[in-house]
Amino acid sequence: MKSSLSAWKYIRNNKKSVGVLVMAISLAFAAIYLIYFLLMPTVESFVPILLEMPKHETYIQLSDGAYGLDSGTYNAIDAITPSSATNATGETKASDAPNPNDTTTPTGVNSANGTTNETNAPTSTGVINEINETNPTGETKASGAPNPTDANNTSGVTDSEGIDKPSAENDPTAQMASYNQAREEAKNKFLEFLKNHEGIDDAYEKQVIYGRYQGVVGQMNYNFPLLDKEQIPAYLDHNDAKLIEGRLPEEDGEVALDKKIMVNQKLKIGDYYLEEIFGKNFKIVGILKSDHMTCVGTPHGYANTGWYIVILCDEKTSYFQTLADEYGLTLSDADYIDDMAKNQKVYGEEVRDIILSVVKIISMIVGLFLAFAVTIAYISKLRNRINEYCLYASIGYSRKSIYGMMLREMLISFGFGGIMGLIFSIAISLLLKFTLLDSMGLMSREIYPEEFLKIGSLFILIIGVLQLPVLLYLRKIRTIDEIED
Amino acid sequence: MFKVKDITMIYDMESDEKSFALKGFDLELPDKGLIGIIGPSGSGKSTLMYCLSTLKKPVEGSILYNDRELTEISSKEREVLRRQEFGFIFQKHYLIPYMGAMDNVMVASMNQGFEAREKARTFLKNLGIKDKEFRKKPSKLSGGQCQRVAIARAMINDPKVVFADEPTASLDHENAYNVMNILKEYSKDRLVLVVTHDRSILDGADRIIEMWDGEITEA
Repeated sequence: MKSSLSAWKYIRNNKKSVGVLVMAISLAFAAIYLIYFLLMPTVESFVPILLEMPKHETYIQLSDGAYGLDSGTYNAIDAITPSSATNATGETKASDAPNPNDTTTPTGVNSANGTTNETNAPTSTGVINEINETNPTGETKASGAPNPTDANNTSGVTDSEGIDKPSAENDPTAQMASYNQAREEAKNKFLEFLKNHEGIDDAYEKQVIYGRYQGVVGQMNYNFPLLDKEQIPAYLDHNDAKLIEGRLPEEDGEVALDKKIMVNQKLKIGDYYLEEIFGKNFKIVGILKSDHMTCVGTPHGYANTGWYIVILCDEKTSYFQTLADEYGLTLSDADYIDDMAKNQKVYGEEVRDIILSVVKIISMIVGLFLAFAVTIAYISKLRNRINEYCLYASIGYSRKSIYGMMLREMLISFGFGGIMGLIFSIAISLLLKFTLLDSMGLMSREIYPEEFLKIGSLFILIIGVLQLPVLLYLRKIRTIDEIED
Repeated sequence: MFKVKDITMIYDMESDEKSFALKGFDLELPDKGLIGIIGPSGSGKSTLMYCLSTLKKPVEGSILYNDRELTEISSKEREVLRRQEFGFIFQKHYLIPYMGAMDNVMVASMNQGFEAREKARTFLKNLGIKDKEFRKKPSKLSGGQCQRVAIARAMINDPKVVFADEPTASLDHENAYNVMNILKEYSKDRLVLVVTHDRSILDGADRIIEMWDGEITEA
């Protein structure tokens, strides 16, 4: 014998008011989901750069101290050397180099509002070394200044006017040359160690520039190397990257970029890469396809963001501290290490945690608003139906039956609201994906089932909160004789 | 069917000026027939009906219903009794405003199947509600029609006792006459208790109980 009160009768006969409630629930559902959907591509799109790319390459700049050299000696000599404005070998000290690790440099994520801080942009921090008087390989400097490592400069005991100069052991220039030679030797020895290490395909010191990738919020910059054209095929092979359009860089100042970067930065073959920063120094000649946004180029003079040791590592050798410990390097804050450990930290602390916190806060605000609105709507509904509940109590329905009906009505409203919200969410998110996100070259999934589960849990929580006014009203239900008294 | 002994009901128990709605009297009611309880406002007639129907519990005395002591049964048992054996017609119809006539009858039914709906349909038709009015909401029905729907709702579970509190109060003479005829018909094999202050509607009653100031003056 069926004797429970039907929730459907109220719903069938009050389509308008129930419809408004269901619509409000579904829109709240969709709003929470779409916020997540629009923010998650930033997290997902940065994964290849921050978590996948470091499995293949590490960028480091080591200070003299890391090699066991006393940089204090260098500074003392440097201070009294006639050409003290420059580093004798042209090598930039790690502490002086543009540091991609901070927020002003290529791998740093810009502020969450997505605006580029121009005062911190690489260009303003002397990233373009064309104007530098330094040259790490001892090649002729762009400014044409004499290179102290040249034999002509290091051996001079007497100048052209025949003025006596200090002997070699007292000559600061000679001491500097000696110091630089020691440094070069230490670095080359370390490079040899890296090249011979299991799991490392190659290691070389190269100029780098940075790839730029714009998320829905925030921007990610990352290093990519400027190589000799002969080195490029091996580099692409190491990164499982393939040329899908155009050609590989052959002449100086050419780059091949990952397809997603091309789409994201709205570039095409023949454009100049980051022209506003590097001018017409890097022409785009090819498009690559890879899992982790591989880009590569050839150098153009000294237009770059610095000289780095590039290690073509594998997953096991992607934590540089392990290699440093093995070799016996003493790392300090003066050393710039862009490896797996650093990128994992950036991803966790600066990308995922921040964005997920934003999602949580917004979800909470929308959820609270929904809970408040639905509670008000329910209290109003309960007040309007109090005589109905009193009738049920009078003709023999228990409070449990009445509560069951209220609960079923609520569950049906939330159920329909949730289903409609799910449909809206999927429809709108697919539309956004194929119109907005794909055109921005951002990576996103079609749906995020885990977020649906979270919103479902939030709704269950709201239903739980709503039990409070329902139970309070249940206590107010009397029998009709009491009303008439 | 009912055996009432020394029933006393006091309102405002906590107050210094207690109000005695029922002042300790005995009463016996049969298994069937139309019984009228008549008296002026405040005489205790409605209170007596609510005590018999378990909606109220007397402060003293005993009410035996088919040898069950109603003053001692649990609230759940009272609910079951009201649901299965009693039917109610209130002074106002208390129809649910968003439901049609048919749904308003079915809301009290213990069975929601096809047979129950057919039974509700028959009741409504017998009470003069036309097919096209079955889906009409109370706001679209006349006062008399609403009260007839309320009568159908009271009878849908074939209750052994129908309690009717001023069932004709909001009706014109013709409708009042029709409603009383329906109740009279139903009382042929059931007990129908009608509380009223209008003696004229009790012309066909099998018995009239008169009350005054919480006591039965004539039975």
